[in-house]
Amino acid sequence: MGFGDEKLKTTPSQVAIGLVPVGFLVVVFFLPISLLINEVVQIGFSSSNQLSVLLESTVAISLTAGFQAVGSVVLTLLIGIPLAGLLSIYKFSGQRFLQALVLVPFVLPTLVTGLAFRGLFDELLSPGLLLLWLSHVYVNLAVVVRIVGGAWGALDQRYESIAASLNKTPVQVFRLITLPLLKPAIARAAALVFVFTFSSLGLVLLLGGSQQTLESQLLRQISLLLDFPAAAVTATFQFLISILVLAIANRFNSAKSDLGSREKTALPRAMTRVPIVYVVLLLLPLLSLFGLSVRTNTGISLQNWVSVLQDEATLDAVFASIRIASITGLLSVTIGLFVALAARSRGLQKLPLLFALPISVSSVTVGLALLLSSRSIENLLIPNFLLASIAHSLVALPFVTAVLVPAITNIDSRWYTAAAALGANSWRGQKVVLAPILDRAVPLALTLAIAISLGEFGAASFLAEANQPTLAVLLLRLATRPAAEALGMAAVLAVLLGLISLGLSMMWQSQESK
Amino acid sequence: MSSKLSIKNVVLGYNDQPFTSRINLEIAPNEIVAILGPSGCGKSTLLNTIVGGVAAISGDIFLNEVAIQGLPTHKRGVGIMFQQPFLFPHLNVFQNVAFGLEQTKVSKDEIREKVESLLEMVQLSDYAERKVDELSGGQAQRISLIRTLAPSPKLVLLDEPLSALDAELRIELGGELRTILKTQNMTGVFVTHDRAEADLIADRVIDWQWS
Repeated sequence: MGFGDEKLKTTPSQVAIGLVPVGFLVVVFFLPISLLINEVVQIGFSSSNQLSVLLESTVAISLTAGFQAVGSVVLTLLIGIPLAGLLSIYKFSGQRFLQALVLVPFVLPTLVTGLAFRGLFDELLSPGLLLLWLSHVYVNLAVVVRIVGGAWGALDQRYESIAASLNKTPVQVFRLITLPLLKPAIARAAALVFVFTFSSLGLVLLLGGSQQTLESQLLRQISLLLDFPAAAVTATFQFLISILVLAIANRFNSAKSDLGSREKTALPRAMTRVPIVYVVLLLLPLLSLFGLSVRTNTGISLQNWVSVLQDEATLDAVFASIRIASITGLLSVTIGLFVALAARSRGLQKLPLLFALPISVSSVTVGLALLLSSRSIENLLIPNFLLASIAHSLVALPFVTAVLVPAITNIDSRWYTAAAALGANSWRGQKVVLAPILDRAVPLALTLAIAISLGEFGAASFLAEANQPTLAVLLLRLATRPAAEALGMAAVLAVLLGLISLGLSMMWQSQESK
Repeated sequence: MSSKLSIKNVVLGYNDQPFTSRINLEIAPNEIVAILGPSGCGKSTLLNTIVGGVAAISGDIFLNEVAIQGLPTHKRGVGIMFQQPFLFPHLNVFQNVAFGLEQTKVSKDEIREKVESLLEMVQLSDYAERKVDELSGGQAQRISLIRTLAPSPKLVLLDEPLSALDAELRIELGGELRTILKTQNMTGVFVTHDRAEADLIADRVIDWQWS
């Protein structure tokens, strides 16, 4: 029996531990979402005409967003699969740097990436579908590299050696063997990229021009039109489509993926420039963002930096962001820990799946559902920053549980038995076994949750107090103002936010590598 | 089609660092030679070098007096079989065996005929349409063998093909392997760390440590 194969028995205390996060999820997720769906049903009953008009426009936006998302998926796969191969089958100098660099755009808040692309393409490419596609590729390359590259690195090269020895050319080997064996991973990556780009918000707002997604429509309905019934229809539709796509993607998770492991080979001489090309392409938008932050009407200067750092609104935004991010970190990690501790028992192994559900719902939808449900209860006064923190916690939970659950459930129960045999009581046994694992996993989960909260602006834009926006919301407000100085100031905020996210990302990557 | 293999002054290495002295070996047509040695001594690397998976640091390899180091794997005419069968999981048994024939200028009927005769040879005719994960370890290794032989390679390399099987099956399949290679007039190089297995299959046994 292998390490971690033995599960604990399900005891009443384990069930009690499991009830805490389930109760949290019911109150802040399932009930608000069901209220949202109920709102749609009510519209349907009271005015079927209104519902059909709303559905018609929602379907139209979905089709446009679907086309955009399919294009994004195709382009991301075309550029990402060769990069995944480069990183997983070859070894070359600078490989670790390129590996880390690929993750940067995914970690950065989308508003930061959006501004970086504005800075890069400035007058070359006006906002629209092409610019949106390029930025989506940039952000989602990490998804393809992580999933497809992971599968490729685990694909025993002897499958390919045998195919080559059976008279197949390298192209045929790739087409007939490598690609089919990578198909489940490619499908999984494609589905995730589809969900991310179909529900894209920050990049659509900054780079999409006339492009719309259900997300941007939802934000417009809530923030500009104050049309909550229409927003409920849009949110429900978005939720159902995401669930459908993720359910399809989940089918590929069960596909057989144990195909051995690969030993990396030296990069062929003819390909030595390929990593350099990828490094340049990945660095260009980041450098152009810094360029945008020092560009003013009068030339290159630090005026934008001075304006931002002297502005009281910046300090207020920093405070608001830290407050919401701290609560998000504490809340999501506490709930995540309860989930992980409960999931150690045999009967509650599947519990974490429940906490992956919020990934199918956008932050705007979560925020809207929370807002509607808090309004539906009379005399319930929940401060908006707390609602924003809860919304951020729900967005962060799938990622936090993905870190904490395997760390804690992979502990072989025989460690506890060994501790007990040495005289430790139940509490001390748990402490001795869990402490070293938690020392590594909790900071990792915490930084992840904080980074997600700092970059999130969809829910925060209407949940955070109007006079105290978060850094991300302030960035969006500045970036969408027509004045050139505002764009420069937004770029400064983007650089700051980007640096904080990168710092957090480096912290968790160093934790992960331990 | 059987061929003569000549290995002359070949030095194997990793990251340009040699880990063997010069290797010289002559194998006559139709001969099956076993190379015996402990794990990690470089036996598998030698096979991988012959098939074209890695390059030797120096030396020459000739197949029927033709130097093959410069050729890509698919042009060498060398078949290889490993410890695990490595049957392609997305193809069924028939498609796996036919895989190497599709490249040659052979009609579909001829391919079917050849695959069926090979399946019959290993007594697995009823398994043609089966998925490969439905096969037992011994059946999978038999399919792997006939897949290697199907395109009639000039040389067959066998990298510990029996070591993943249990003792009884190893003896049964070892005898079968020798018979099949002999009836097909194949030249074979077989590496193993098991003396009994080497004696069972090979015409000649070379001890890597003392050679």
